[in-house]
Amino acid sequence: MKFLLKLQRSLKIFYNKNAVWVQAVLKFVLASAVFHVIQMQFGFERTMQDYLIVTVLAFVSAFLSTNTISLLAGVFIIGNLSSLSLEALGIGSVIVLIVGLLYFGMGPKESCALLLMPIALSFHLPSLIPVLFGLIGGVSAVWGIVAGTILYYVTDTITGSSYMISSGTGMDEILRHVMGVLGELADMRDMAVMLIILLIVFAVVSILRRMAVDYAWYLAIGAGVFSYVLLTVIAMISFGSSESFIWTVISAVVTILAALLTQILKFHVDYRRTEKLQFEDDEYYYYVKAVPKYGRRNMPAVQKEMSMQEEMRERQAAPIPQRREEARERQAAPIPQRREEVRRYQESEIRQEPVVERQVETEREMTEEEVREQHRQEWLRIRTEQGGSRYDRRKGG
Amino acid sequence: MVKKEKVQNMTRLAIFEKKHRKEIETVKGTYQSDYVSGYMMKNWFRITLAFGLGFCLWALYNLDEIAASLNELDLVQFGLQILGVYLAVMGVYLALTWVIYMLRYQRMKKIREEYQKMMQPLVREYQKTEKRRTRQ
Repeated sequence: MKFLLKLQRSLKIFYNKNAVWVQAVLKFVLASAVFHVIQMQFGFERTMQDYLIVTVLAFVSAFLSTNTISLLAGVFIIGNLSSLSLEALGIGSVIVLIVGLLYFGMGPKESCALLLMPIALSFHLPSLIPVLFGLIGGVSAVWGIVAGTILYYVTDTITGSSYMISSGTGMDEILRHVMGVLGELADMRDMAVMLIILLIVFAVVSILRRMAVDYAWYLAIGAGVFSYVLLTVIAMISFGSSESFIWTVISAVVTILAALLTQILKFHVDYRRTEKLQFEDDEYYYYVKAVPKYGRRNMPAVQKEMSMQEEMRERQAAPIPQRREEARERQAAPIPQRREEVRRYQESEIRQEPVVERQVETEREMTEEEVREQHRQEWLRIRTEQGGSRYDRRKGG
Repeated sequence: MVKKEKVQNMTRLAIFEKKHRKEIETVKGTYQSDYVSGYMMKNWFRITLAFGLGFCLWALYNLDEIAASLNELDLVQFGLQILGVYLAVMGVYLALTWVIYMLRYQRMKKIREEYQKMMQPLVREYQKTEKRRTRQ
């Protein structure tokens, strides 16, 4: 546990200092993985030229948004299709265009789900992405999951089709190849079954995660993985799905571990970064560097409570003329605003907070106990000045 | 003299504005109906293009059957069927678009309200400064 806490703190410090480079490296890794998966689907030999192309594209992608990376991946798929045959280029580019039009019509802010889904499918871990995005993403991730799955299966079908081995020589042969591939695409039962399973898993995880119960996250992870395994087994038995049971179990185990790690990283690591800002007012230009602090104060609920307490403490600690001025201004404020301030004060626990400043203590009304204590201290002081008690004199004090 | 509280408020506002600039500007400059209808219009074009491409693929796949039944084909009936499918697909997609962009606009509106709330201490500070200047 101590190791985890140290790891979290190191991650926080490292990310806050190097946020730009961390994001660039992560995007480079993601883009490399996506382009490698696409090349693997097309069965390219691992030559230096292939690695060079992928590395250059991934380097460029490191400084682009995930939406632009997904557009680049689409262009990469179309480019690779052109190396297969004319029919593959025609059909593949139309399908990629249709999926792109429908996907970007939903205005996604980022395309991580779209880019990660083909990677997960190529490594036989399809449950990983719907469970993770069901936990940390919004409902909009469903478009990425659907689009990524469709693109993966379509590319797999086209590259694996016997009609695409060679390009047709005449119009008849080209048409025959096109109709053959389209027939194979229309018969993608595996893709339809996988889509249904992934959507159900995503829905289960998303709904359970948002429930107001204890351990909602663990419940969501367990239910999501269980539903994935159950539905895959049903699909294997009923529809003769080509999924392997061993890979299903491996996918479930990896998903559980990844989801638990995500929970630690999401909730316990502060991802705010150092901000460099510039603004001005009538008197000065300000060049500010804001470095986030660590610890409990940065949790949103505590931050709200602390800011209210700080505001009241500062108000009480201010010099008296300034407090009178502020009190006059508050009384001059409109009644709804004053009611709002009183309500906020009553909601906070400021009255029970100890007052620190000496100046304010003299103005506060003293309780009976404090008055009695003050009298006792005064009596002790007088007695000491008079030479102490008879007992002290007997003992030679 | 630099006032610490004022700089803190301005810094928090600048960080918030940097993170949510697009949402604040969108709500400031666009009504909800204009925002949602703009995206519905764009998606209408997208869906029409996607439907056209999909129809071409379907026609290629069923080219043999279409060519064989071309003489007996009731073109009006065929056209109405295609139009029906087009309207159904368009209806579903535009309904989803409306829901998604309406929810997005509501979220952006909440961000702008939070931004305006954060501005209040700074506005009060400026008003105090103005009052002091007018008294002097």
